[in-house]
Amino acid sequence: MQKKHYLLCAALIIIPICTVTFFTVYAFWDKCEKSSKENRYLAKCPEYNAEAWFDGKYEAGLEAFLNDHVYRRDDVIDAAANFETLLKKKQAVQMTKSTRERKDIGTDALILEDRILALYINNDDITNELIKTCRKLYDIIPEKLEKYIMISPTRIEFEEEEYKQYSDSQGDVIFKIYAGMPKDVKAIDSYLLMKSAVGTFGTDRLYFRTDHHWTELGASFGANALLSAMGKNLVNPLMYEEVNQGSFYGYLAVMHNTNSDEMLPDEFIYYKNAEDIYEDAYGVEGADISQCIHEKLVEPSRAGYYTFVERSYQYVVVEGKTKGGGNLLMINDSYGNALVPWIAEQYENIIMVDPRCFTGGKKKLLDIVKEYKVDSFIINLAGLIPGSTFAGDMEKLCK
Amino acid sequence: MVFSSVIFLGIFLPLSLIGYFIMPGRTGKNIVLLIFSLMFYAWGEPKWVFIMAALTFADYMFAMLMDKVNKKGLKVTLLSMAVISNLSLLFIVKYYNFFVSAVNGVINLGLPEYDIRMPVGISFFTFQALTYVVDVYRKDARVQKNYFYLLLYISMFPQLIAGPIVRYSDIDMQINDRTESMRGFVDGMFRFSIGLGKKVLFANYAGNIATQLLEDNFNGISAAAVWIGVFMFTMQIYFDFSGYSDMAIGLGKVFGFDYKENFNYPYMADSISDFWRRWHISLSTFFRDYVYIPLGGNRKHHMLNIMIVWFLTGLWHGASWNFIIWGLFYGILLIVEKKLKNIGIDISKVPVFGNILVLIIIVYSMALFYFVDFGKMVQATYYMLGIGNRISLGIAEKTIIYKYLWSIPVMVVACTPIQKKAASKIFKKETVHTDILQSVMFAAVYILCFILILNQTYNPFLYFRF
Repeated sequence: MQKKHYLLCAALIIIPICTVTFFTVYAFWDKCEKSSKENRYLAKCPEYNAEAWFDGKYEAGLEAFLNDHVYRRDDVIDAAANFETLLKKKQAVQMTKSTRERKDIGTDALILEDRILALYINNDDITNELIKTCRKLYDIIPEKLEKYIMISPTRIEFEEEEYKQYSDSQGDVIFKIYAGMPKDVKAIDSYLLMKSAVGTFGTDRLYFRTDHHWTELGASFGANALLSAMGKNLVNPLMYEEVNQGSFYGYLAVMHNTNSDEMLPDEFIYYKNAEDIYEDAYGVEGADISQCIHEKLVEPSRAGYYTFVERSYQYVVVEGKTKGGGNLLMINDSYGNALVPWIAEQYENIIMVDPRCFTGGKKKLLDIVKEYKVDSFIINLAGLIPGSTFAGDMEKLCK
Repeated sequence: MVFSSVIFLGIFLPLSLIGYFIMPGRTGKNIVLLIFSLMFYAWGEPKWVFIMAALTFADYMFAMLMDKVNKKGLKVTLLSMAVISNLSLLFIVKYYNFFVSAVNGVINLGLPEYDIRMPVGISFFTFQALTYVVDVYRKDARVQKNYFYLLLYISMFPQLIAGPIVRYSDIDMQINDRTESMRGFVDGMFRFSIGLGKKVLFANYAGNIATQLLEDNFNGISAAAVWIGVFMFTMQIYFDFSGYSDMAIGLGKVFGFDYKENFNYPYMADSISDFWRRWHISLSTFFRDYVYIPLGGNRKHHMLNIMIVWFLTGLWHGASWNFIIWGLFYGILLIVEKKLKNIGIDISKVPVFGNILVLIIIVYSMALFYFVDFGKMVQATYYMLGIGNRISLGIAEKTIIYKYLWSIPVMVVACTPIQKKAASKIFKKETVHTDILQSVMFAAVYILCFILILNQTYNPFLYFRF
């Protein structure tokens, strides 16, 4: 074999090695700090010191830095994703489990061509635990307060039979929980109201396609169920001007990596009424919640729609428009957050406690009851929550 | 550091190649190789480099002394001390906690467990060190008078952390006297790219499917999904480990070393003994030559010797009961196979049936290997027999499997010598064009793997933990 042929072969080997080296070494000159594509900050070059070196932290940090700052990283990742798309066989219906560790959202999902459905998987033990915890919580709340419970169904409950077969009935579980509550607790039936609203408006207007929440319109029906039970005036969303705030891929799309060309994004539509229904809103951690309403809800960097408040706070106080309208304490998830734009007008204060973040325990909860002269108390969750850790989170409120 | 990482492909490999080839002289090249090997091992776990160097020094001294003394008794004592020192370290970092928990479980002595992080590849380099002292004792290899060359043999980065287990006698001469060539460079890099491709293109995808089925979806899993999950793990472990061996052999070739093959299409085996002649050859031959034959081989206590060897083989793979069960499972199978042969029943004589039966046994054995949790292992066995679960695939399982359905036949073909035979038919003799084609394939695979590595979150090397 002639030497020049080997030189040609060697060149063919050395060129890709040099190319890869250039792409890698470029990292040391890269100034980019965040990836808008992946919605995260990129790793920084670690500072060298002997301790970090011996711990292996320096090496791990440097590897992460090189991975994050490769030359034209976004294009390289796009190329990899395109290659993988070529390999993947498309299926009309897919069922996946989230790879992320969020236990408060149903992690099993059905991915269809135009929507993602968070599935509800019933677990009797967890349901019984939730009943027990709710009862415990109602027990520590002063007797003079009006007590309510409202558990709302999620989208999968109103889907076609062919998809519902992968999910358990939320209706049965909701009514089982209601039946397990103490006698002085009034159960609010948002289920039947939602069912009839779906018949009128269709599922796509009441629930998002790429997110696990209900829309503002969907939330208005939940709000009406609550307002009706509390003897307040009902709201009519159709009286208000619809504003399209923009499109977004919701949490389910992001969680299941389907926010690509495969699925159209959701539209975030809100109703003009919500702009002046309350005087002020503030989170206990000092954040200005009022800035987070509507205009800022849809942001590409936030991986979806967060319903009313930008993230979970220990508790949020919303000062309503009606002095003497009563003070409502809600133990709620994000489904409950979405009700606030519709109900705040008729209350003096609404205090929303998120048990996933609340660290004050029983004492702080009762202090809130006293401080805000709470006269109504509600546990307000979404139907898929009984399959999660919510009971455990609420347990902390009783201690 | 792993081979399929940005830092290795983009920085370490090019730097080591440049450093090695611009350095003149054999000594210079060996020094460069030693420095890069130590840096490779130190990456992420620097403290273990010192322990490895100290252990090598102990082996160096024991071997020097063995070479000097003439009395057999003294030689045996020195050898025993060398073996004990090597195995003691392995015991402390790998088996101590397992041993303590087993003892405390049987008779509660309250022995304390310690948080010891096992250094990567310790089982491989300890066994390499053992081959050195034993070969010197047996006079199968000359004593290495240069400590740094012995350290180079132990720490050589191509095979340091995931094998193959290279015997000192096999490369004794090559440390001082080897030839690098253009041909070796081209062939070696091509072999490296084959291994990289096996790892990134096959093992990672197969592993991803196996993990999704056997971890994320294990509750309520169907019998079909357990079989497919374990089958994908069987594919993953082969492509992962044989890929690493290919990369090691390829890089060895680039640097002028000639390592022995570690795999020979193991899933084509027609009997269990044939499987172990084809799978992790360097480990099975190690146990054959350094444990089985010294114990008496098939001359005395044949069956007991087999069970001891397979107990140790299982234990070598990890400090966990499932690995011991896996090893003993093969020990029993080999005994059964021998007994059947003695009465004239030989499955290897029935070609297709033998292959399929052996493959089914191998796949099942991988379930024993996969589930470190004993309860889960038993449950998986029941599920595989269709007891206590659905038989057919559910939609979540179909979603995982159908997505990469194409990969199953491709991987199956890649496990056979079909592609090798086809290539040898197309390129009947080695020409300039075959070399150029090899180089082009290297370029394509190298770049593609680099791109995919950046996007792959699932990129483990299974044999690292051994």
